[in-house]
Amino acid sequence: MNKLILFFLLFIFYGQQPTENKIIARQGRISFFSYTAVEHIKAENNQALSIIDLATGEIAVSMLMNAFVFEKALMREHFNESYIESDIYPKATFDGKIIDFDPAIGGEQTRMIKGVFSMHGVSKELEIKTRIENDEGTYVLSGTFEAFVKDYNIKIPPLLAGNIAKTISIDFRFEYQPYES
Amino acid sequence: MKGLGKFIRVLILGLVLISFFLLWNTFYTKPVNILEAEPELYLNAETLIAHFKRENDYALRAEKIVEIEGTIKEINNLNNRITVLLEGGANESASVICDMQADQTKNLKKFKPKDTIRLKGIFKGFLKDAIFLNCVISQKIINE
Repeated sequence: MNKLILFFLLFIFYGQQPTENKIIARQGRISFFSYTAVEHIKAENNQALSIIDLATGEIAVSMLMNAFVFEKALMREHFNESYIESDIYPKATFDGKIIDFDPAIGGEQTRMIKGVFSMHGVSKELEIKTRIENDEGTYVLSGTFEAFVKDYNIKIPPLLAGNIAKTISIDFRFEYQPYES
Repeated sequence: MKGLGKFIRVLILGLVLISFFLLWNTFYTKPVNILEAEPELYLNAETLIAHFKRENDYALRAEKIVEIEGTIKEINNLNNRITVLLEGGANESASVICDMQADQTKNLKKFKPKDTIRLKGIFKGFLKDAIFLNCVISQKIINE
């Protein structure tokens, strides 16, 4: 009888482990900046989704392109309709792995994340330097990286070329909670 | 001859004004006033999540103005944005995420988790949750 109870306890423990090892951020912030002499463009998305498997260090990020908020409605319209074509490519995703990640380390650690970023129908390999804060099991990931507009097949009309930078700076911050599937 | 010169000047001025008007209409996008906008759909948060969970991705098209009623799961100000999360159903981790307009902060103070609320916003899409932006309180129903 005791063996049977032990078996069930082990079964429940191992059955739950994959979910317990995962953490989720449902309201991640991703902002991008384009600085030129003509115009500064800033946009923010506060509903980016990310899941990390603490056991393997695998990380996935997904965001809706039409959820970026701009200062001006016209900028948002150009971004969605002309450049990103969010009706055709509604999401951008990142799938990667945190290199040498040890979830048991408390406080701050800086790690590289290697993975594939897909946007506007184009996938590119990226390496992103990331700051990881672990405050008693609450993880926060933040960092900055740059993306070249031409890498993602985004066509800027010659008339507006001076308004949009060739390199876009992207900031991110994800605050994770235990994942309850 | 003098009259013809004046006519041409008036014609040019007219063309310039028409061009300005056309350019303005083409490039100026008036922001949507959600408070006054008529919703295209009225939905319950649990019904919406149930549709997406059945992988019915076409349950609701992006950019539609929707009035949505549900039970408040959480109110937070993560990233300095006031966000209301509505419960997606019993034993359901998916929820409806409503990013509130800044002018809603005062009215939202009357609400707390487990209250029922009716919000109006622009549907953006579904990730693990349904996402709405520019949300405003449409009509409050307090559990008392």
